[in-house]
Amino acid sequence: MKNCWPDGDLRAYIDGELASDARATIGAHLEACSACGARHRELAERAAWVSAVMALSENAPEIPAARPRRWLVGAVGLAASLGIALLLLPKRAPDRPTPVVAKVVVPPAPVQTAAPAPAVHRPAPRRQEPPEEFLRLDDEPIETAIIVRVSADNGALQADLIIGPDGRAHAIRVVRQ
Amino acid sequence: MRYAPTAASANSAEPEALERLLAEERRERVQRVLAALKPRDAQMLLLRSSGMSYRELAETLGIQLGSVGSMMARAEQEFERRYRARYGGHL
Repeated sequence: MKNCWPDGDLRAYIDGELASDARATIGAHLEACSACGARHRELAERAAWVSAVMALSENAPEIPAARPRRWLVGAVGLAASLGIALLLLPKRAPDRPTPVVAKVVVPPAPVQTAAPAPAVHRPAPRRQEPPEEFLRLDDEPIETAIIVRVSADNGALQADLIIGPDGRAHAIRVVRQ
Repeated sequence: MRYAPTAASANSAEPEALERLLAEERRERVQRVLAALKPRDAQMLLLRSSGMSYRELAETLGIQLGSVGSMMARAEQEFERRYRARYGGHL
């Protein structure tokens, strides 16, 4: 039949995107032309199918983003923990008196020897400060962990981090020197 | 005595989880097929699916208004052909 319409016009006709006169002309032609009628049905069915597939895709939940790398999580945790340690550490004031910790030192019992050994001057053992308590950074229980010592300011500031299996720091302890 | 699961003990979250998996699979299929199309065809389908009119499509893609219908028909034909070749006719 003459004056058959191309796919583009039939497709626009399906979407109602033609001017009213063109729409009326094509509508009349489709009633008379079996070939264009069949093509119109084919295009309409495909358009509905593609539209349904695309709609189903749009209703799907978002695909989660790729997980950050474990080492990156650990590095961020370490950096954050060290920052917290810097904030928690009291600033050293040179004129502040150092608190004296009373400690009873029990001298070792004298050992009887055959000949008295010459007196050897030994430096007094360095007094050990009691270990600081760990500060929990979250309430998530962990079964295994490693302790990582980090330092800053050329070693003047040190802290122990409890690193869990997830690569994050779960607790911190400032090491006083 | 053997444990007999009852209707009340069935996990009601399982159908929802399954539906979510299927939806994600459909989404991935569409994305794979769109990625295999010519960029202009994929853009056409995505923009039309977002609700753009033919005039808006022509302006966005920089094409003649009279060409939108033919490009749309060609993009849909290619999309269907590739989709059915990979996954059959199932949605």
